[in-house]
Amino acid sequence: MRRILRPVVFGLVVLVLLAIPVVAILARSYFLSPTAQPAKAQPIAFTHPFHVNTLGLDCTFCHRTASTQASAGVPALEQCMFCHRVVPTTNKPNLERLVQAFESNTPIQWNRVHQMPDHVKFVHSMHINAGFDCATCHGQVQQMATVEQFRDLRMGDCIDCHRQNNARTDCAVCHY
Amino acid sequence: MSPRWGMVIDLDRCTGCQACVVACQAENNIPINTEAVYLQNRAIEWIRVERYWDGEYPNIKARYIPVPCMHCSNAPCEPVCPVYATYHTPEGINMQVYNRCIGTRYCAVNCHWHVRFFNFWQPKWPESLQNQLNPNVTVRSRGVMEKCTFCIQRINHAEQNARLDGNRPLRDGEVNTACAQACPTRAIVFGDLDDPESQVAQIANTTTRGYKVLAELGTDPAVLYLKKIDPEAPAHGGAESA
Amino acid sequence: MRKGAMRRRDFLKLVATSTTGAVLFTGCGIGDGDPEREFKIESPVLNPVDLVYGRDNWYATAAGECGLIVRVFEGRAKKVEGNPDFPTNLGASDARAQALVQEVYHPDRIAQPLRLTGARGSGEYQNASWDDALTELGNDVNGARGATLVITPPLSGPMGQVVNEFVRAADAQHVAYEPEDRVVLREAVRRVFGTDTLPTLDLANTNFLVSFSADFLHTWISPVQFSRQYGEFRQGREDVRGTYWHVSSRMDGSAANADRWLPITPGTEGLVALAMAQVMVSEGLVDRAVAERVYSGISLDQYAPDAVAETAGISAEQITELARRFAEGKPSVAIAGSLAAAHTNGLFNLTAVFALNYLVGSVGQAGGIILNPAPPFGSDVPGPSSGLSYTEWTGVVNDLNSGRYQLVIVNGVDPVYGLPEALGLREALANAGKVVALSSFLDDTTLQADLILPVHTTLESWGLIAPDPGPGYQAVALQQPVVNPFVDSRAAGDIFIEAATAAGASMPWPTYEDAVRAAVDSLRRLNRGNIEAADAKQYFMMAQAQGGWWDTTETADSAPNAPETATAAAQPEYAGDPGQFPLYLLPFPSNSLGYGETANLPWLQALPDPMTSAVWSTWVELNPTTADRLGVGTGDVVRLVTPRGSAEVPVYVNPAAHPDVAAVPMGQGHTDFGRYAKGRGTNPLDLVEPATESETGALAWAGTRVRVEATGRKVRLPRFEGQVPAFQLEGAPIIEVIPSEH
Repeated sequence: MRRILRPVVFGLVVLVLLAIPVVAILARSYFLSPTAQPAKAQPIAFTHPFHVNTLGLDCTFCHRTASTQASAGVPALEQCMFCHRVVPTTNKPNLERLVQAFESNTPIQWNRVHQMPDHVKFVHSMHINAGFDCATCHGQVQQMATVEQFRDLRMGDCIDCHRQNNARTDCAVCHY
Repeated sequence: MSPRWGMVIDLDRCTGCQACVVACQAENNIPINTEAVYLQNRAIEWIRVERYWDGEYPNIKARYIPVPCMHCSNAPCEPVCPVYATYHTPEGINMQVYNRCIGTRYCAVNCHWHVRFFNFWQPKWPESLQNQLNPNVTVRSRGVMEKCTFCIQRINHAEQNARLDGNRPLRDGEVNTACAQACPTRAIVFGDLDDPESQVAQIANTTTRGYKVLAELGTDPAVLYLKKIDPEAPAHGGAESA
Repeated sequence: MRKGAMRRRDFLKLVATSTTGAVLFTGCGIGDGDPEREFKIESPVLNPVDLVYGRDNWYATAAGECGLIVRVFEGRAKKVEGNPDFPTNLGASDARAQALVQEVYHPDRIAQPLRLTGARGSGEYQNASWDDALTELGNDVNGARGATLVITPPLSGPMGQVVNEFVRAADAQHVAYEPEDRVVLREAVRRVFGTDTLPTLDLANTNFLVSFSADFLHTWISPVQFSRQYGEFRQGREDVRGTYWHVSSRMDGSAANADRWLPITPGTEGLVALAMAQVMVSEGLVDRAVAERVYSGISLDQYAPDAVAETAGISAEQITELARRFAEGKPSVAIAGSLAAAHTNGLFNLTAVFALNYLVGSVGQAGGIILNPAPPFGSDVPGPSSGLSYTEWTGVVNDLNSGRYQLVIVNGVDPVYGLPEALGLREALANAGKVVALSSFLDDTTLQADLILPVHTTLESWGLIAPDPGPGYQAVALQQPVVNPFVDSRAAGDIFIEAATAAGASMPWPTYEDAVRAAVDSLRRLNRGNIEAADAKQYFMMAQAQGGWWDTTETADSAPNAPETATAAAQPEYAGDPGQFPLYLLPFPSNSLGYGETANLPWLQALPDPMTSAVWSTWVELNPTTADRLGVGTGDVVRLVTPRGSAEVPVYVNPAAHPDVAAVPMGQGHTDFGRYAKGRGTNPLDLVEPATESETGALAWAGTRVRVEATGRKVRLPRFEGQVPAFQLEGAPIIEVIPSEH
């Protein structure tokens, strides 16, 4: 009996040990995948609600290339300054930070909110031109004080939506 | 109807200048093949120009053949992948899905044309040269296989434009691979083999010189070669003389 | 338990640490750079002016003889393609055009003006501001009136105009550098065809082509243009497949594609051409009167194939067959260049070959040599011109050594690298009061400079280039900046304008761009060509969009006046005693690196040579029998000894090499020139004795003999061969060859 048991136990132990790294990797990729990113404070507390609701700006006013290009585009500080040259900035720390960054010629490093997995191409223009609203994926950004990720945005989420809308689900549509 | 992408390479036009090789490297973010890489025989060239000597001095020839991925319909690299990282698109392209790839390299072993390349290192460019990288193509990381994609980013881009333009089919010439576009002798022609009007289909359907490399393996490559013509081929050479 | 056997516990520990370690480390991406950056997204400060939102921008521009279009994405040049409209290349491009983007973003590009702090050549520089640097240059120019030397490539168009203005204002001396075989070629074309512009070919209609050492598919004058034609030559016609023979002493990338290659003794190209003429005349295949005119002063009867066969190293039958096929295969064309021009009898070689075209009536005819008209510039704008011959360079060096020049300005060329060490230009520059280099890279000449002014690269510059050779009619390529300068550089033209103004000239244009615009406007006033526009502004935009101006109807005189004739027959002479130095040293321009001007670009360094597939290095090609005799094989380091000096390089045993030849590629052996070129390989010109071509005085860079000595050391020669075998498998060919279409 012992003769059989010992190799079996030994085998099991080996298997478990081998499984540890695999489980660790899977766990890491699960917990560190896009949806798990906590919302971080941004270097400048830009408020979408004010710009969209109060001023009535369209998304593409700042994210200019959403309908024409793969990337929606994060506006240059110059673009902010088109308006904020005339909007008074005194005693508004966020605006002062903006002006200071602009004048000192320092780009702003935003914390990325929507973290796509690697090796994926999401083409904004295709989705916008197919008639989807920005809110389909991004949610009601105009109501978010700090922008948070709205959808899961992992592959299952993409595939579900592609299937529902009869879009291609071939790997090479997004992975190239 | 979706297209079936294919390529015709006329060996009688090819001069071995390798414009295609650099064009491919520029388009597809292929890491710089340093001297060390060559010494390890690990140069990454999605399309390469092979040179073979034929004959003996003074009746000697150097022969050239550009070799991209053959995009076999019945590709030997596909079934061996344990994680389905290499697969066939409905448009006839043999694609590598980088996220799935775990780097077993079985596919490279099973490829008879040696057109699959493994990233043994993290690709590195000096910071300033990164400005040249093509934003439409993934930079592959260490540990994954990579290969010719028939410039899938160009195909996808053109298909997206065609869809926005009233969902029309692609026109011949609307998509071209980087190698075919650069080729100064027009030895490489790329297009839709299922469109009888396309240049590539017309050549493929009318030529008397067509052959496929290693056709006897039955993998049905999508790259058709046109035989080199040489009225004075050395009789004893490795080449077939009819 | 036996000692030394692995215990179970050890085994488990090993498995646990190694597997876990390996997988976890890979998974966590350790060593993958900066993962934090992936979680950031950046707002730039400014919207770059060249960033047009929405999609890629394609801009037409030009480099060399090619019209190009460049893909620009968010202000960065991404990809170069041929301009499908431009007549010389019609959408085709080559490896060197593709690599232009690497010039812009090269990590070792000079980013701001530099002032020498150490000794000349030490490479110790400190940064300077543009204001200071330009003030300094202005003062220098004023202080060196009548004692300034300007070195550039041969300039035509507005750049030529600007430099001429500067030269006049500063009372300077202007000399042009280009590869020395080009100097011989220009003189040969002048003598035989009577034109200052180089001719093109009409291969698409040629039936029989014979090239004498001209590597026209890879390096000779306009390879993209000729390659495009070559495709049509072979397979563009229903019923005819053009036949191509190559006569040369080294099998180059073009010869590799020839139907037959005739390996001759170096420098006997002209002799073979005379023998061909003799055969054609004596067999009545061509008009004797024409032959007597173009070969006046040469008694053809002395050059029967039997008489030259031994000297030329090929059989009389081969020459006779070549002559017959050339005469009977009309339209036929004969070209010569590269190595044929680089012997002491280079001019004779070229003229004797070019004259063959008159015998078969293919000058200016379909399928023959097409002469190019002068460019459509006004009389005040310089057209194509020649670089200095070696003999003239010796004069320049003597002047430098005598202290005649207080200021030397170098722009766009690297003569210290490109001229042989024997000339002593590097040492002579030390005797100049001051050297100013207008350059993007720290090349060998720039390293001798006291002041370096970084200039725009090709893709950042304005320019108007008359391609030389053109497409057979008048054509001008408009070069425009496709991206903003990547570093704090200036246009070379602007620096010359500024310097001329400092010297007191009143320049007609405030900037170089204005000079280009003025030149385009003068094209508009010709009222012909491809562009139709309502006003000057629209005209310029159209020229930008199309990439240039051309007029297909404005060709060269198709029946030129009685040409001047081939020069007297001459034998090549070699430096070095044949007993001591048994082999011929044949340097040759590299397919990707040319004469060394693109050695700084990694894509081109990494591009396998067409014959040897070698990369990143210098090698010497030896025939297998020669290598056996020396007891060396591929990768063995040998010492090349010439009367001038010696160098150690690895061998590539090339089964197609002439047994009496040691061929070494040019392009490597730079002192600096950025991280990809620095200290790599050997410059074969350093081994070359300064023999000159007998009539033009150009350097005969193939006129030196060499001895090859084994050193016993071995290195691995980096090359592509090895990833695939050198020969195909018998019975299972990769490349299938058939004798004819049917």
